[in-house]
Amino acid sequence: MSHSDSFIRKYIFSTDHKIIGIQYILTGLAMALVGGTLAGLIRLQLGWPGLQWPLLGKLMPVGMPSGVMTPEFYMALVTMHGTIMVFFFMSFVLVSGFGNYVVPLQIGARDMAFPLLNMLSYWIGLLGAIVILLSFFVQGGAAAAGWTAYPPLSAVASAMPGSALGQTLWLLAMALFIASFTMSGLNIVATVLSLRAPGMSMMRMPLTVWSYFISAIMGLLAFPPLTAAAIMLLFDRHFDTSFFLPSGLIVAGKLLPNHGGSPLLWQHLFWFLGHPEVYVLILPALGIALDMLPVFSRKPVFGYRLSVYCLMIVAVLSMIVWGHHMFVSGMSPFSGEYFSISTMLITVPMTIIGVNMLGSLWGARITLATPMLFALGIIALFGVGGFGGLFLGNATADMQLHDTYFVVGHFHLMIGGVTLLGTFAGIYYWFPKMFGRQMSEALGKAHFWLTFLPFFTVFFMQHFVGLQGAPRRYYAFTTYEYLNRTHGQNVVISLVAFLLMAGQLVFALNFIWSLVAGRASERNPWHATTLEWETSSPPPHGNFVEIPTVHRWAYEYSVAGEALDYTPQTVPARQVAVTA
Amino acid sequence: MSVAIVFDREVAERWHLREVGVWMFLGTVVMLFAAFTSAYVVRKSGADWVPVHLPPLLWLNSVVLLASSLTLELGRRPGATARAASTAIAATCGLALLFFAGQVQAWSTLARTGVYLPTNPASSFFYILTGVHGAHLIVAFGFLAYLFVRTVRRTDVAGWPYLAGLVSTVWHFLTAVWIYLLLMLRLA
Ligand code: HEM
Ligand SMILES: [Cu+2]
Repeated sequence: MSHSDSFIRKYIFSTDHKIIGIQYILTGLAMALVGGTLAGLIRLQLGWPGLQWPLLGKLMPVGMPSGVMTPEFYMALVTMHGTIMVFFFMSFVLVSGFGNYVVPLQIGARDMAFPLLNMLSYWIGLLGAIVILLSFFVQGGAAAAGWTAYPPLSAVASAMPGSALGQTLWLLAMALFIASFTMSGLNIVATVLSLRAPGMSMMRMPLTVWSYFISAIMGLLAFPPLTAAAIMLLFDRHFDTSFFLPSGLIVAGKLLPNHGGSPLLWQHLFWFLGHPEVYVLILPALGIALDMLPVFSRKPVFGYRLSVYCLMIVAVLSMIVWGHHMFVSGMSPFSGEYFSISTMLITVPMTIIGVNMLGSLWGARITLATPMLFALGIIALFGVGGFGGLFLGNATADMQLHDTYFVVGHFHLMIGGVTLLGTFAGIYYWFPKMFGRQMSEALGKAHFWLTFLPFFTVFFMQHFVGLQGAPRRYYAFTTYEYLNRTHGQNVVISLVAFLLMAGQLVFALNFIWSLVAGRASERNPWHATTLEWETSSPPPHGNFVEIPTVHRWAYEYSVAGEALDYTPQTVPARQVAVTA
Repeated sequence: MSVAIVFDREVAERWHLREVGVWMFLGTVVMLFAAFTSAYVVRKSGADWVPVHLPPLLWLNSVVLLASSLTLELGRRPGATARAASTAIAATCGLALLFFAGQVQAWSTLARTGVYLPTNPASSFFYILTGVHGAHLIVAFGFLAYLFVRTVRRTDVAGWPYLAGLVSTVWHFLTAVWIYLLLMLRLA
């Protein structure tokens, strides 16, 4: 076999979960660059509507003719930013990326249950990412109906430029994504159920593994309804059926032939996926944070069992709250009340998880290493974002707040912030495992502050812009008298947002520099107890020379009377007493 | 001389894993059709719903599909000789093809009476549900054909019962989905 051939098998078309995980992470980070650029353009428009940007006009003659953004292009930007960030950045990096890399290692498996399916999952996912990127370059431009793709904008090709080929490609990309994500989810669930090392009972699994396990199950149950909805939307778009299109719709001066369809049906089907999907993303971030706290506070995690049960309860409840996205859709007040109550119910386990995080910190010797900073940041954003959720979950308050920047602020703290910080925590923490080198702590800490402070500022301020009545998805706030006073705030938000983006350069620099010239890492640089640190860094093909046997849970820190302040899961009970 | 197949732990574990995977996948298929069902119920309450007069051929098709499940079971029952297994699984493949032909025939019968995909919501559901089910069945048919080849060639004899078990799980499942869809289209 030639050398290049084996290189391709090993690093490109690899079935090794570690390579696939890294492929997902790198692809997702590249997509984040695109999604972030789109966000920059959005902020440029909102901060300085109508200003001319000649250079951008040259780069994007259709979207920004003579340097001023068109409303249609703005809609495409918002849509594609949301879609790319949720599905092709966060799902890729946090769920499929770290899920692939970490889960088999932490349960002591040699690989995922279905390695070939795993490889297929990555390549299909990549194809989806390519399709969504290509959609910018077709006639009419990219999809513009929002990441929620509400009909009729998404269903009538002549509704707006992005409703044409761009929307079709959006649907195709989503289909590819769903296929890929389903394969990846099947793999995670089967791996956790069947490939745990001897002694690794479910109740000895690290919370990270629990969170991936539960989030994978949720993904498997929630995505098929979106698939069904997408199939029906496709037929409405191209074959004149009327699932979602009502009678008497006049688009571009023409009466459409459709009759009797229900746009609300789409909303129900979309949010039946959409709500669980946001938890699919946030649970891994919470799991990672829950696991990082003990490592850097050198004491056992607080309320392990309670956290496991809360994760399960959140998963179940998240399937029955979707209507809280539709309070103003004209649903009956009884349904509204039901969805309000179920939403309030879900805040209970969420709050318990938050309290458990704080409990893990209680009375601890905290080391503020970079991953820990990000984990602490998660607690802060999770708390504030959840507080905003309480207002939104109340149907009466949501009548006012729906479709304002309050919602934008809320979900960015959660699905944007908690997951972003979780992603970075994961990268800083497992970088030594993946590449055998340490990232720079100084740059890491600078990166944390340059991420956390601007991020919080931007989206905290957006809550208040929303309270002043600014609607989301509006192209400019110049035409409404009452919104003039939000202009200054929008300028500040935009400037801080640019600072946030600039801060990510520190990360890029650190990542690339550490990759080539980082200090060589010891095998277990954080003195952690979980199994991934029991093998070399990076681990060999097959992960472990010999499959480890597990004797205890993952949180044996500072056992009284022991010389070392941590006891790996592989240490037998006759050497060090088992505490839990 | 009796050729007892030695129970191989590793083979058993590998197939157990696949079984877990297949059942989870079938779970996602359940969710898919559950979503279609709820959309069906919602859309049916619209004023423009005109029930489709189902072509009677569908009942015959159902019998054919049920028969294919039956022959598959016959083919994989533990006592069957290799010859009997090949015959029975060949019959399953034949019946499956007959079912596909029957479904296409039902579509064209309907189209000849002027009931097309966009004619009304009931007909849209009819074509899409039968189509989505058919698409699943076509993929399953690929596995069925593979099982047939394996049965005739008799490669990897130790794994064969597991493979046959999995294929039949999927096949029976899709038969059941079809019966469910037919009853829903007919009754609901
Ligand atoms: C503490 C519990 C939470 C509550 C009570 C809550 C409540 C709500 C409500 C009622 C809305 C709808 C607002 C409207 O459109 O008028 C909403 C929107 C949203 N929430 Fe939450 N939420 C919570 C946690 C989360 C978490 C953990 C995430 C993500 C990881 C999240 C992500 C989102 C997203 C993405 C949207 C907006 C989707 C859109 O319209 O584009 N939420 N939330
Ligand atoms: Cu929600």
